[in-house]
Amino acid sequence: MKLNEKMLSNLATSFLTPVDKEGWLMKRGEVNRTFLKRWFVLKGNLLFYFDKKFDKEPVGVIILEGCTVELAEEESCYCFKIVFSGPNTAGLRTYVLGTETQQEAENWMKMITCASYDYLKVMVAELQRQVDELTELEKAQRQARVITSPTSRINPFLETPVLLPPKTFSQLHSTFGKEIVLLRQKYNTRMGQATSNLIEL
Amino acid sequence: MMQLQVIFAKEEESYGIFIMRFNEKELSVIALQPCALEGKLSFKTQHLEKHQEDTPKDRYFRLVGNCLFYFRCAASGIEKVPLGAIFLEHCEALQYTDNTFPFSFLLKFKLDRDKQYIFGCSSIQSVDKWVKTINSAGYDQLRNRYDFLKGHMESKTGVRPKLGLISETNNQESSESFTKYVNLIDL
Repeated sequence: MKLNEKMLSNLATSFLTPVDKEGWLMKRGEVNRTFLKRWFVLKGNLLFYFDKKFDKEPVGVIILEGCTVELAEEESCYCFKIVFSGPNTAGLRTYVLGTETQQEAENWMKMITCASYDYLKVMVAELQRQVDELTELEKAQRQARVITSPTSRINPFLETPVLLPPKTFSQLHSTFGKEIVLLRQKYNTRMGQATSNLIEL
Repeated sequence: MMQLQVIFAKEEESYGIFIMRFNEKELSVIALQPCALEGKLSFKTQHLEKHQEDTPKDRYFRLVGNCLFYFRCAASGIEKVPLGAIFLEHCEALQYTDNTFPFSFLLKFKLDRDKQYIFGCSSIQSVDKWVKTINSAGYDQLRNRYDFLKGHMESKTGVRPKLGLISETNNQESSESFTKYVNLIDL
């Protein structure tokens, strides 16, 4: 099968795509069952492997679609396997990879399990569903608020200050005016008493 | 052994062949999975550096995930094993006018400026459909959409969304038996 290899090879070392995980792994050969140390780089659903860390071209790539990850039964290292299966499973490969620690094995297994395009598609669909649900809920809440405001009722048990109807200017003028007239009268009588004691010259 | 390897490398250089191993058989299985779009198209490959182009051929295309497979057309349909696969990452499909095909589009790659593909369709609607589907097929694009939706949910609910997966056993604590599928992944 032909593949756009040059593009993939460039993709493996390009800064355009983020590295999801990289590290040394022991890879068991298909024919020769010994383990070879390879530098693995996971980008999206493509698991590239290099002979050395800073090589420009990968030795190969494992396309992570239609596969599952399982623990392997090797005793020498913490191994896991990438199992490919299909309707006609005969002849499909299982890649056996080994790490040096339990933690590393678990991390790789986790990353590879979540790497496939199919998996990502399912996650996006799920998130989209959640977002749609939330948007619907918000819309319903907003509509509910709009309906209740024109018929809002006053709670008779709440103390509200008694508001008098607002007065017009002339009403205010006459009210204050009366007060002033009274005060002037008082002042005049006081002044009258005071001046009555004085002798007119 | 070393000498043989050197000769092999030189040959590769002269033909411009680059041999990268990949899980070919397994990929053939993927090629027959449910696809986003499929159909018969004519296409030709252009090698820009050498100012060469291959003769146009009729092939049956299937877009599965971020990979565009093509099959040889047989008498009773299509062959079971794909002839080739074009991975669609950091690429751009655009409408194109050429003397080759009446309705066509161009497919070019940021990560390989040498190679270009020109496809011929049966109608302008077909061109439009293929261009749109190819341009939204990339893995990174899907990932960006995921990040955006996740951020949106976080800002609305203040909680990181936890997405569950199928699991055979509820075995989160035991590190001895790591399950086939991961249970809850906090991403």
